[in-house]
Amino acid sequence: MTDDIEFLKTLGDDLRAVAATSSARSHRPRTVVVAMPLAISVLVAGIVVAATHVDQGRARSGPASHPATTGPFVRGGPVPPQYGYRLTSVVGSSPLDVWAFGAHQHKFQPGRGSMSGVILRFDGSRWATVPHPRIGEIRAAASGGPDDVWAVGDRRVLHWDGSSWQRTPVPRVPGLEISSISASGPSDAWLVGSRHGARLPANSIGSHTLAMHWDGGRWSVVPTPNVDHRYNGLSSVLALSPSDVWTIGAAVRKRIGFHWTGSGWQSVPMPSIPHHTSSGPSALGTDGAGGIWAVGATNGPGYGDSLYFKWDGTRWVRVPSPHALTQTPGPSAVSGSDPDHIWAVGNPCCDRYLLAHLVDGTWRNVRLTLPARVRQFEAELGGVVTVSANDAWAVGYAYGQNAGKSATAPALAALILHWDGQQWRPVGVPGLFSIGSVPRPTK
Amino acid sequence: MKPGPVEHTDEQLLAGSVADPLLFSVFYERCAGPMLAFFARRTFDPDLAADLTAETFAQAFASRTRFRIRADSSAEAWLYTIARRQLSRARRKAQAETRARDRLGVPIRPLNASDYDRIEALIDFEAVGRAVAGALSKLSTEQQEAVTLRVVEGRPYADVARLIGCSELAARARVSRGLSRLAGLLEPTVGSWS
Repeated sequence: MTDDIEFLKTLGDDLRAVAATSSARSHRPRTVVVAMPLAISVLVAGIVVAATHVDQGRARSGPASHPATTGPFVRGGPVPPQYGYRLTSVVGSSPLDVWAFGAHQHKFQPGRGSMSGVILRFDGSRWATVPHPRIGEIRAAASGGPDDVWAVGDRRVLHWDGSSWQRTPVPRVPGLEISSISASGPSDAWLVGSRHGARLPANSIGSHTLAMHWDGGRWSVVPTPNVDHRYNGLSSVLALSPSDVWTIGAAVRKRIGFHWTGSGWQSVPMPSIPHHTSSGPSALGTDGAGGIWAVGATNGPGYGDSLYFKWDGTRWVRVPSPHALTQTPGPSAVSGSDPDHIWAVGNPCCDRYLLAHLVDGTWRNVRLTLPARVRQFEAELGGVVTVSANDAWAVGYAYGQNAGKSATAPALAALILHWDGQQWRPVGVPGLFSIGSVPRPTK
Repeated sequence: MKPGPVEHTDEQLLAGSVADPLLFSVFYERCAGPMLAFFARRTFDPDLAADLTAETFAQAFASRTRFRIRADSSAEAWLYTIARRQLSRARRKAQAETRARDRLGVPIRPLNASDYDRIEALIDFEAVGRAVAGALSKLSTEQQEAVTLRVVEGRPYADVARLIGCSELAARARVSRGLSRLAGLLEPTVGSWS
């Protein structure tokens, strides 16, 4: 009866990862060294020069016991499983202005929890971390231009004004959970999510939809419809202009969608998927020319199907998915620079990395070819931005488990992929435990 | 679930997990489903139930060294002691703790919509409804009426007082006495918070 509950499976995985760390901890501590296969070293030479290691304070304490240039991608242990980096979103307004966001998972620290936000910026030649006010895991981000970038984590909202990141206060809403943000300009941004808890109107339990609007000076709550007295939530928002904003989400046993026309939210019927009443698209993206896409997955018992929907001007039309049915399917982000250049990325799928490209109106699977030593990592891509036909970025994380023969614990490595018009390549980030980094010099 | 002839008992798994922490995963696999159902039936709130399940197992893992095998010790009873403590804390604070998860670095994960449905299905609203109806019928007629108006129909106390024909203060007292009686009657059937 509880076999299908994804939450229990994930919790089981999380606990196993913690247990694996404890096992490893009882063994002799060793240094973690990120090694990079030669092929990638060559590819990214000139971009990434710094060595990096997991959870610096911890990793430095042990003696280096492995040469860094041979063997598995990540060597040694113990690397606490949740330690490392995961990237969740990427936004960009031009080839010289790309931002990536996510979290550093670390040992619990009072006042900081176990996750801190990470903000990275690509200036046209390299990625670097950017200082910012304290924030937890950054789950969503948006760009309205080079001087107008947003990052959302926990209940905090950060804004980049062109020179620094600042907190912008949001109205106090009990049980607030923000899931998505989008900006059409400096005085028009939206964030959506849900509010949980008991302080809901009479006869309500569970959660209600929530939207807030930024008018250039402050955030204010804009009432959103609810269709169920129990669970309602919005998962994604896309602001194309002040009078053209889309949001989608879920309620009990149905998917919901609303369109803001400047004065109010109008309900947009979401397509129903046979046998999967509570499944549907969960992320919105633009094709760069005013067209919109919605992607997601069915999560039926045992397997699921990837979902691609295009708005044809009057309704959502399902476009065939190129992916096979799988256990953990689904694109989680979609972005295009023009209707002929759209990318979708998502969970590990049939090809371990889910990358799909729209070619002549048809979605095609794109196989990412990485050196064998990198391929032993499970990877998940959470964000994508298509800047132009030959410039796109995808971010996520790689999760290496038992890399190599020794009982190494898994670790999360930030994963940034770049599309140059020909192929996807991993790009490392100096100072960050990431795929594509160069080896730490060995003694 | 009873262990087969070659399987470890829950107690062996839990005690063994001190030296070999991965054994805790096996213990988790056995107990997670029933634990989620336990919380779902007591909170009627899938989100909270999931959250409490996660925190309970995190805390069980963190304090597994305190479990001792004795002739009469039961791993399940030990686990449910932690669970009940979590439940009563959640009752007071209207949310689950995150302390054990924070300490271990177990991420706090939200429920997806399908999980929400599936966990709600564990609650068995029909049984709850029958129990509530049964318990309600055992209240005095005045209390029944007050509780129905206030709780079932969600009317303000002013309305309740007007409809029953008493002062607002008296209406409040009647609802409150009715609810505590109801809680007492429901406790053996539906489960309680503490």
